[in-house]
Amino acid sequence: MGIRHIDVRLCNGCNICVDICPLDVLRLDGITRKAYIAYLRDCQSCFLCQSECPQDAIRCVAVHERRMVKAW
Amino acid sequence: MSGADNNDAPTNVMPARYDIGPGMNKFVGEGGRLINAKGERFMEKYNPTLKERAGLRFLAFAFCLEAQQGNAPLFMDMTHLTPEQIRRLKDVLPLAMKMFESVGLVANERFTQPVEWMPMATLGRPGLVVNRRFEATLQGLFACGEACSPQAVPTGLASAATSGATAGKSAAEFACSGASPSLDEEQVKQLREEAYKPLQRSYGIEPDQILLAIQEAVIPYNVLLLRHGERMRRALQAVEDIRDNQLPMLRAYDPHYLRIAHEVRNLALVAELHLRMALARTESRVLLREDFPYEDNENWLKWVVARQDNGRVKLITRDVPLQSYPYQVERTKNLNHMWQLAQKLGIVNVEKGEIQWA
Ligand SMILES: Cc1cc2nc3c(=O)[nH]c(=O)nc-3n(C[C@H](O)[C@H](O)[C@H](O)COP(=O)(O)OP(=O)(O)OC[C@H]3O[C@@H](n4cnc5c(N)ncnc54)[C@H](O)[C@@H]3O)c2cc1C
Ligand code: SF4
Ligand code: SF4
Repeated sequence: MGIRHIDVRLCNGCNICVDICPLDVLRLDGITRKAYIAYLRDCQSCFLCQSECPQDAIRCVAVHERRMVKAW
Repeated sequence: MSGADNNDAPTNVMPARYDIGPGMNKFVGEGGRLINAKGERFMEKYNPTLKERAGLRFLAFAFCLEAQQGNAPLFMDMTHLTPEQIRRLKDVLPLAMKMFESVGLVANERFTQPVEWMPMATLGRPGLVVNRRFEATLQGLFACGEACSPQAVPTGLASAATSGATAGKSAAEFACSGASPSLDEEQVKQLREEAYKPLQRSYGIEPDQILLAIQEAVIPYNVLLLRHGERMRRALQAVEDIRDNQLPMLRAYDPHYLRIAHEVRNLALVAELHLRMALARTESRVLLREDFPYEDNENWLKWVVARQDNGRVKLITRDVPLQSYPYQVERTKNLNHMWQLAQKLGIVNVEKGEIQWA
C-alpha cells in the first residue's frame, strides 16, 4: 500500500512526483508519458507525491507494504 | 569509517505505525496526552510538573518503564482536541495529518482514537569525529550534518545547514591549497567491482530480508533504549551473523535495489557500532543500563570512538576535555537520577549494583 493509485487520465507527465519521491518509487513511462508505481514496497507513505501533483492524480494511504518492527 | 563517536545518543518518541517524524512539540503543545494500555496518563507519575513536556530522553525512559511494567502499548491521546486545534495541526503538519486522515485516525476535524506511540533511538547515530573546521581525522575528508558525530552536530535542519556552510568552506580551502589529487586506478577498480557485486549475482538474499533482520535485532525498546549487557550481546551476535553470512550474499535486481543493498550494508555497520559502543560504556548516563545503573563521573567522562582496523571495528576512548569547560564536574559515582526516580516510585530496587525489577 502506501501510494495506492495514479490516475493516468489526469496525469500530464510533468515528472514532479518522480523527482520528488525520496524513495525512488515512481517512474515515467517513456512512451505514454504517464507516471507509474515501479517499486511499491519501498513507499514510506510520506504523501509528498500526492501533495505536489499539480493534477491531483495520486492517492496515498498511510499503511506500509513492509512490515514495521515494533518496539514491544 | 575514519573515526566515529557515539553513545549518549538523542532519543525521541513517535507514532509507532506511521513514518511521522516531526510534530512532537506541536502535538504536545496542543494538549496531546500520553496514556498507557490501561488509559492512565502515565507522565503524571514520572514528572507531575512537566508531564508530556518533559525532555525527550525522559519521555523515552518513561515509555521503557511503562513497557517493563506490562503497560504497553502506549498512546498519544488527542481525542479531546477541538476542531479548531485540528485545523491548526493541519496547517503546521499537513503531511502528518494527511497520513492520520488516510487511515481514519482523524475524521470530521477530530481524532477518532488514541494513536499508538513508541520510543526510538533512531536519531542517535554514529558519525565522523570532526574538528571545528568540520575536518575528519582522515586528511582531506570533511563532514557536516548528520554525517558528523552527535557531539559535533546534534540533529536538525539548522545545524545541518550551519555545519554544511563551514564544512564547504573548509573543503574548498583544502582543495585550493593542495596539489591535485592522484587516483589509484587499481583501488577505484576494486571499489567499483565491490559496489556492483550485488547486481551481478544471479541468486542471493534480497536487501529486504536483511533489513528486517537488522530491525528485529535493534528496534525492541529493551535493546538500545533500556540496556543490559546480555541483551545487547545477543543483538550483536545477530548483527555479526548478518555481517558475516548474509551481507556477502546480497543480491540486487536493478540499480534501485542496488542502492537499497548499500543502505542495508550501512545499516548493519551502524547497528554494530551502536551495540559495541553501548556495550563498552559500563555506566548509565543519557541511556540507562540495568547492569550498570550508576552515572560514573570517576571513570566515564569519556567518549567512545570507533576506528576501522583491518576491516573490523576497534574501539578506543577519549577523555572529554573538561579542563576547557567553564563549569567543572564533580568526579563522583551516583545512581543515575532516572534510576533514582524509578526506585523512589517502587518500580526498581538496586541489588548488588544492578537493577532488579520490583
Ligand atoms: C522523519 C524525520 C523528521 C525530522 N523532522 C525534523 C524537524 O521537524 N525539524 C528539524 O530541524 N529536523 C528534522 N529532522 C532532522 C533533519 O531532517 C536532519 O537532521 C537533516 O535533514 C540532516 O541533513 P543532512 O544534510 O546532514 O543529511 P541528509 O538530509 O540525510 O542528506 C544526506 C544526503 O546524502 C545523500 N547520500 C547518501 N549517501 C550518499 C553517497 N554514497 N553518495 C552520494 N550521496 C549520498 C543522501 O541521498 C542525502 O541526500 C527530521 C528527520 C527525520 C528522519
Ligand atoms: S506529478 Fe501528477 S501529473 Fe505529474 S507526472 Fe506525477 S502523477 Fe503525473
Ligand atoms: S508517498 Fe512518498 S515514498 Fe510513497 S511514492 Fe509518494 S513520494 Fe514516494
